[in-house]
Amino acid sequence: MLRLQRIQRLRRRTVTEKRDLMGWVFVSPFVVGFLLLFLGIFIDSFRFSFMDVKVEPLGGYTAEFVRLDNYFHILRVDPNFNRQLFDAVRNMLFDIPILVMYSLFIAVLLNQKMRGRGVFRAIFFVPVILATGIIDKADMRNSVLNAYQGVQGIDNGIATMQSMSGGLFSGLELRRYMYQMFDFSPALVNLTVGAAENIYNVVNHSGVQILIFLAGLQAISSSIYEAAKIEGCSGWECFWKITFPLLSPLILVNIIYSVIDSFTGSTNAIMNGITASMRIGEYGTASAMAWVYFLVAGVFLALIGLVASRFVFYQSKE
Amino acid sequence: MSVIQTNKTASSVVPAAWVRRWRGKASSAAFWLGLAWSIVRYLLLIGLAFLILYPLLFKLTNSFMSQQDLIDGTVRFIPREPTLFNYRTAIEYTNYFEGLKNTLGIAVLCGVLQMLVCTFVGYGLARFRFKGRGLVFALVVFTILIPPQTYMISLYLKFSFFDLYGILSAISGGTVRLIDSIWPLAILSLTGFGFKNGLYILIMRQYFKGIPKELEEAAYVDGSGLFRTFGTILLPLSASMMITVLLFSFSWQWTDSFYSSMFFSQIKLLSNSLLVGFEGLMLEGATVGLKSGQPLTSTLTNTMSLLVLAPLIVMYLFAQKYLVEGIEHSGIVG
Repeated sequence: MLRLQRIQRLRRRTVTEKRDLMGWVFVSPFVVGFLLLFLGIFIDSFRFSFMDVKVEPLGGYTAEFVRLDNYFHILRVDPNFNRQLFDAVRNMLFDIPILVMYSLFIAVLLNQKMRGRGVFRAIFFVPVILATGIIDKADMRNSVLNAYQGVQGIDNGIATMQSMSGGLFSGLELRRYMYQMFDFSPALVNLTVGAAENIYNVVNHSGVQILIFLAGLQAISSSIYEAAKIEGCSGWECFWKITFPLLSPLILVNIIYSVIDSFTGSTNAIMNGITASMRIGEYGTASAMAWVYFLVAGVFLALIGLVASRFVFYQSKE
Repeated sequence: MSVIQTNKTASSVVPAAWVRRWRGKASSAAFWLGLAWSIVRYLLLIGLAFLILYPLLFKLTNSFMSQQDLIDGTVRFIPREPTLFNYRTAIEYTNYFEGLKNTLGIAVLCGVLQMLVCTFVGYGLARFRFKGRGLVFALVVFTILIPPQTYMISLYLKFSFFDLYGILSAISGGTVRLIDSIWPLAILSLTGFGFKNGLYILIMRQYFKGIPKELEEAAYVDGSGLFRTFGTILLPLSASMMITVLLFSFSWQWTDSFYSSMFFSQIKLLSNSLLVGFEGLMLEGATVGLKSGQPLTSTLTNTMSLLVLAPLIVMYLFAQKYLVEGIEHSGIVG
């Protein structure tokens, strides 16, 4: 009797259901890696966030359970954390739309047929290489030492770039000019000047997104455009009716990536705070900070994912 | 004879072919619009390219300056006595070609592994509706969200005393030290946990979701198995996306300082030698070594960073051809 039931249950599985189980085979590398390497690390970090961890000078550590003290400390006592968290979220909300729109625009430009396209693509690839920050690291040490020891007359890119981004769109000048000449409202002035000062930032944080969009554009069959052209579709219409929907899965990728990049980038104050407290051995506080941070970032990602997934168009509807 | 003459007179009346073609074009509004657009496009791209390249241009001119030029305040952008001294010193001192060879080997290995594994996992997440898929996907996003700096120490300890929940030590009677070997990176790449691998999985998942299901279903109906369908139908379709992922993983492994400084203290890598810098280098005829903060030290670092970046840019110039000629998707319309 039991056996019969089991057979019936097996039979009830359709071919597709059986095939769906094969999905585990495909995701198995990731799952195995997570279980073997990272589960322990994450559990430790979660445990540490409720503990007061002290590193012993002779190796090893002691950990004492302190309940929610770490969280209480960073959220209620530490004067910086809340403000930095708020700033991080605000910066993210401002930057993401600009970043994604800009990189989509540039990717479409770089996909058009023109002379020197390869060279332009290579130039726009440079920010991708710089994304790991190794050049910045090497430069930063130099420029810090230069400033410290007062060595004059060295041009290394980063120091000049900083002074240039100040000089090129000289914020104060521009602000005064706009007040006097156009009688703009202060909010509008701040917005415009902020955007101008942001250009350098946007250009150098969009390499990854541009490359993703560029690859996505390659995947759109040219026969779709040909068919649309024959039907009398203008370039503008083609973009909104063909390119945009077919790229929308990758727009979601880029939004998620930009959110994560702005949250975990090296310029982010909170991330620096976390690594700084790790360095001085405050693992408890650092873990608690990290978890609060990830919670906030996770909530935002979930919200964005929910909203965006309503607009994303997949050719394989389920 | 007369035929030739009539021909001649005809051609003298009608303007040359290119003039005609140009006039024909110029009379249409579309031509002028196109011209205006391409001018605007070039202006925009050149401007942005300048913004990106500006710091690198500084490094470039700086790298050709001799020591006199560096100290001379009147030399700003163009070196007065161009020299290859900086390049020669940087290449010799850091043992550049050995570093290049090692870096290339590791970047190729990790890049290819990460690309394949992430494509695999991404496909699994995009196409199969098994239970727990949502959880696995959430974990993938979660791993991108966590920067490696936060679990650096645990990871280091994990690979210094490598053990799989006590299995290894039960067999061989002790943990294994994997630092200073290729294993940590290979294991991380194989399990999709290398630098930003979650992003690659996410990219591939979204990409596969955008490919219509009908193709695979047709293959299944024709009796093709799961892996054969994946290998012969989906992989060729996703070539451009896979190349992009390969570009990311390769160039980020190339310039990575985080994992390389953690796992390879003994093996010479480009990124490590750039970060170690040129402090203490003894030049010919000098009694003391270079000090940090001197003009020459920074110039050598600048030169070295160009030497690290240059192979990547050259590689991209070749690779982007495949981005152009990505496989045409005949037969999948809508």
